[in-house]
Amino acid sequence: MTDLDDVRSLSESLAADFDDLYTDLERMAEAVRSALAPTDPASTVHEVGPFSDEQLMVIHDHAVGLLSRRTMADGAGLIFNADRIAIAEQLIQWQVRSETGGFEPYGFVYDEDSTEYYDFMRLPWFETPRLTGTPTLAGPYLDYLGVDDYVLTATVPIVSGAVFIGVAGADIQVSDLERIMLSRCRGLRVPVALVTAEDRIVCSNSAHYLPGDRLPQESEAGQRMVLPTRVPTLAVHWGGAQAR
Amino acid sequence: MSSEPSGLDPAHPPTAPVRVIADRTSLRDHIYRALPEIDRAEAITNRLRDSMALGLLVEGDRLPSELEMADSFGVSPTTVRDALAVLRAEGLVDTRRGRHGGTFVVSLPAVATDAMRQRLAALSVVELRDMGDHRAAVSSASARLAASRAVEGDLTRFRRLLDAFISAPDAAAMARADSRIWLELAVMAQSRRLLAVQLQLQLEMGELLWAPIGSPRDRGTALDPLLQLAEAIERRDAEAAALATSRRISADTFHMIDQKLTLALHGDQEDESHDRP
Repeated sequence: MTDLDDVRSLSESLAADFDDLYTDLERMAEAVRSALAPTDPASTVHEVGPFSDEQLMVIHDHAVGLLSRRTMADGAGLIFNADRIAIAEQLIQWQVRSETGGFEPYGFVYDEDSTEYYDFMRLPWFETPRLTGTPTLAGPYLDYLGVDDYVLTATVPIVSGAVFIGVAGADIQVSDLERIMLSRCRGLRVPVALVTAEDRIVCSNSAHYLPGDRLPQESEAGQRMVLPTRVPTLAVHWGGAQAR
Repeated sequence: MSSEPSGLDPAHPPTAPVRVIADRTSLRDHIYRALPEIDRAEAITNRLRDSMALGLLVEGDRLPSELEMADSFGVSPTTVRDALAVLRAEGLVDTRRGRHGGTFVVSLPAVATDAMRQRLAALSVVELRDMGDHRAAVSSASARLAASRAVEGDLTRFRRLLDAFISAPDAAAMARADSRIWLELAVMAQSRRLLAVQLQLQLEMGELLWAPIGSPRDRGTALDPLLQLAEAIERRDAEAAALATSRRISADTFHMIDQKLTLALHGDQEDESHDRP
């Protein structure tokens, strides 16, 4: 196999993981949308919730199902549009992996006066799907208001009629993505870096590429292979003269 | 500034192991400060062993009594006793009875390469990069301050520590000597806070950096920026001091990430050589 073949097979295998993740997110979004949508298509939803315990359990089961199938994800769930939710306490339905290998709900602060108040309406993983109506992959970023980790967040919008209800999302810890990528880089002869659309390095098989750094501007004549995912995600940068 | 011969002169006779820490009391406070709930006995064992590995506790030192340690660690005396039993079984401490009794450090831990390998495997590249950023931020700030605050006696001590690093006989001694250099830099900066953070960083990565696994960190390339740092401090050139420091730490970070990746990508192959930046 040539280096190009190796890089292509790496990028295809990572793309398959991302596609599977987005498939699960879309399924979760659709389940919520259809459960909430009014039967009369002409009417629009102005307020979502309050949710019954049964409805919350359905959301929980979707999130836990996603986490058990997609080992890349560390947390998953729904975040509703704060302008549409009936009761603030139900705004975020989020499950994370627990220390013991199971899953547990993640608590958030809803008190607007608290310094830890989680105001996410302007964050890219929420705002991009809200403004564009399309799925997105945000980060890597330090989620210091949320789960306090260095993560990427995949989200798909939930839209009913013309009304944006919220997003279905999943967090991917950079450390986990790194582990998955490295496990598929054994035998690869070229240095590669997984980068975002803005050329920020997420992980690499070479110490010359530091996660968090951006690729050098003149990009050292490297090549770029966008992951062949249905939703735009990351790209593989390779064949450069190595950063620095 | 200094008129005495440079301590870096290779003709200079090797000095005795240096134990210069300006404020031993504040360091003691850190060694025995409270721990999180989980695995407390193990955490105490690790804290004491790491402190020995860094030379903060050396042969002959008497540890505080079990009750005193229980109090400062915030645990029960039984937990302390369990922790000490492990160290005793490893031959690192010995407990003597009687009026001049107590628990004494009797030998320093060798570098446990298997444990180091496991620690490196458990850390992600992004964590190692972040640790490097933290070190670089703390250490270059210390270097800047040291350049404007250090007096002649500080520099003499610093050069003696460099000598100890040059003549360190093995990986464990190199790790100890190198850590002491970074702690001394914070001491020269006259900052308790920078010293406290530097101590935490050294406890976290000091041994790992010098662990003799794969292709170990090269003494020569690590020493070169330290010599420049000493000269910059002597000239009171804060910018040059910070630059030498960040150059050294970037290379350390590169090394640790490279080691991690070699482990992750090549598994058991241990003797690969790698290009340095």
